[in-house]
Amino acid sequence: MELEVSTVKHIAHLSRLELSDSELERFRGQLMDILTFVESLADLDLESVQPRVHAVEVTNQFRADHPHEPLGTEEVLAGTADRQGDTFRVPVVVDTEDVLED
Amino acid sequence: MSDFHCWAADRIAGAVGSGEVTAETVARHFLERIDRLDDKVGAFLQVDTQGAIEQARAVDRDIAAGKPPGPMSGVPVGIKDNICTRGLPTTCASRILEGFVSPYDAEVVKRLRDAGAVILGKLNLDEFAMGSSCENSGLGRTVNPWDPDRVPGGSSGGSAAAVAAGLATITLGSDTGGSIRQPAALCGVVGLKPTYGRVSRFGLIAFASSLDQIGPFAMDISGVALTLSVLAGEDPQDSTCIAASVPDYLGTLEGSLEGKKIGIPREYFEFEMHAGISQCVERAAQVYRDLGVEVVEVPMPHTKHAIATYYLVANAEASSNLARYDGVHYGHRNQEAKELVEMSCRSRSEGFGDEVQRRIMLGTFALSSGYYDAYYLRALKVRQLIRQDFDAAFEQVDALLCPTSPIPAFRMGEKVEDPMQMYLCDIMTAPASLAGVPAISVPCGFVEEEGRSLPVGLHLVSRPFEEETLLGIARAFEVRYEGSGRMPAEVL
Repeated sequence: MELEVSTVKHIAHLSRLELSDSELERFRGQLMDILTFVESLADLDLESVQPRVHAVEVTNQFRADHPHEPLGTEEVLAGTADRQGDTFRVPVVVDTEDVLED
Repeated sequence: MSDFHCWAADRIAGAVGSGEVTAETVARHFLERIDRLDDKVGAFLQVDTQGAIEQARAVDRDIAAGKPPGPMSGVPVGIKDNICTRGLPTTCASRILEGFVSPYDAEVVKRLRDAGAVILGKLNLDEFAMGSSCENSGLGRTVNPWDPDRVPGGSSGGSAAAVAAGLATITLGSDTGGSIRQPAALCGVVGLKPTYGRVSRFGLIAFASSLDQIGPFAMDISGVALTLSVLAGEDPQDSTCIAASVPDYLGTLEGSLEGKKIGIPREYFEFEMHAGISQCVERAAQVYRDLGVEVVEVPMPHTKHAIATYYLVANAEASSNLARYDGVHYGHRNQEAKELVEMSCRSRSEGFGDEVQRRIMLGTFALSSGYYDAYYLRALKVRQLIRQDFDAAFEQVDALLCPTSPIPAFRMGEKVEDPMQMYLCDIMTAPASLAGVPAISVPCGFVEEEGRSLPVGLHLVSRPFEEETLLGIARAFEVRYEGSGRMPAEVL
């Protein structure tokens, strides 16, 4: 299986990974090896086979609707690198200037 | 000096429960061993010395007060570091979770605590349980106690090495494609992957949700049987954890094998294999024949497709499960990024090691537009065929027998540059994972490599939710195998 650098770049972006050119090239080679290996599955006739998503068949598994104590605010926020009051703080998502222009 | 590290779990629980020894004495014995030996082994990422002594004292207080002792009273356990433990770091051996402290206990940890077990600390693994050598750990280096130049296997390498070196009586691992059984084989201990749905995954950090299953390691079958009795059973917090009754696995170990049939899947022996390993496994088959068990060949025609299927299914699920590490709620965050997507991308690339990034990309590719049908959907269909192989085999036999790993412990660094070679380590174990059936690795011999004796594992597989049968069959071999319980000389 041949992979273009542009495809690997696209997959890296979908994966939310930032790779250097040398990393892209190294992963391209390794991913091609793996994809070539998995191509052996193409030899099988699977027309009439139903996919199996799970090892056990479970349908509509409901638990009792009992209220319980959730994690406290401090516990939820304890792991974040950046908090502001009782919220998670992140870099700008929508630029205020863009909004004003609209 | 006592030898608690050579005691089976039920012996420790019995002695602590009856007041013959205190849980604190046992805990201190193991903490002293960890202090003395783990610099060499590297099994633990975190040792909770103070917490372990406090837990042990609480167990002793309860027993002194006349409370009925739990089934694992005072048993020292170690936990793979992808299983949440309240108040302790849970890192998945990844820099992306370095410093993360679990806000709650996994259900299995809660059940261990309730049973009186004493948690010693957290054990090393391949980052996010992705690997077969423990070399993908971003936070520590674990060696094989039988030869420190060789890998302990993986991904639960720390869990297997800790038991092999007598640093814990019981450890928990997780198995997605062989991550309990393969390191158990390479380190010469017992490792059990229960049926998918037998044990709650609540609090296990997800890698591939349709495959992940928590299971125990021990020096002997009785240890994993006792632990499974404590871990197994319905949990409303995990909708895939099945409401099937939980037998007394320890109490039913010594049952008769009369009328049992064991199958040898021919296709498993067509892979390249160390000659000494196939001899050990053949001798094990002979032990069963001598016991009057009928041993027959069974066809498993789709075995050769299992690795390809496994790496597509597992990594597709991983790419989705690991999307949560975006630097926002917990874990590593890049502080220079000016915008949200850039922040996530940088945080992830800085935090994840190579193998994790490779697998996320492979999974993303298999699920992406234009490739989904040809890769992911196709793999799900082959998964169906593999399950059908098992269903057909189990109409004829009660268990399947093969090696756990086609090779003994390999040298550090031997396979790190070639992911495909590393993936082939799971060739014997991945089919049972895809089928969701229970499987165990039991020590069955040694091979000599460069002047070192390296352990060999026997892989036994049985029908879903028939762990009782599986453990009984494994136990029958264990009592007849002269190497059972053997530990590496350096750590005795």
